[in-house]
Amino acid sequence: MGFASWGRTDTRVLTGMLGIAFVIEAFWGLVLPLLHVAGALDVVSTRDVLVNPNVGTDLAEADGMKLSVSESATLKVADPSLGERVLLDLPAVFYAVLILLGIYWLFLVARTLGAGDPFAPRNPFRLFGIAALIVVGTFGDSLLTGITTHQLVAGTSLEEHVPFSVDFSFLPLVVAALVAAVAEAFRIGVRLREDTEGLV
Amino acid sequence: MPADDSHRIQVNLGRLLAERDMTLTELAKRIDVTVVNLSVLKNGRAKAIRFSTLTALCDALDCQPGDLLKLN
Repeated sequence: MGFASWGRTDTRVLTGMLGIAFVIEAFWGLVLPLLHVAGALDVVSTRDVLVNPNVGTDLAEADGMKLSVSESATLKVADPSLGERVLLDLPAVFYAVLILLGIYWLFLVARTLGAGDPFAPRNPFRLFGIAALIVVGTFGDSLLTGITTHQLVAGTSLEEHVPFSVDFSFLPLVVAALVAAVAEAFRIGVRLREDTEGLV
Repeated sequence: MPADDSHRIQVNLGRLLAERDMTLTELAKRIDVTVVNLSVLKNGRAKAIRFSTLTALCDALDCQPGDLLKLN
């Protein structure tokens, strides 16, 4: 059994799913944090943080094994000021903007698939853009979270317990490399199409 | 790599057709190539030509590739 070709229904399903994802991300990732920053939304302001290992408490020890509490903790900010709310929500807003841009580019690529024109001249740029967004999102979100957390606790007695830390994951970079490879394949496809456009 | 439109090949299809008192439509029917594609070739907008198309053109017009194409 061979693979069925890409049809109009596939495009509708894909673009529909991307549309729903865009609306959900825009609401949860952008609108809600901005409402929180503006003070129109009253929610508990928390941030998961890494704490110094010596803060952790050993719960039990037996047969050469030790049970300790995690090095992560939750930072709760009671009645945060505008500046604190900005610091708390900035990473989420930054991440949401990147995701929304990525979904938008993917939507444009999906539309060209539906139009039977996958090698549209702008598609390689869009796919390279998505790969770049993944890299920027991975490092940027982590770095921004580290910086804003540091700013939140700076000058308080909590500062010594919450070191500046940045958490990186390599899996998104692998995904970004894969998307970049697909983008390069599309770029070659665009060139091939241009070559054959004037072929008689 | 040279730009796509940097070539200096001139296609003499219009002259060959006139000499043989043949229309583009007739030629298209004979060699099974669309009139649109032959028009692209005749008006110098083609970027490349398949050997099979060139062979069919030469057969239909009773000429050599050198009669059809010229380097300016």
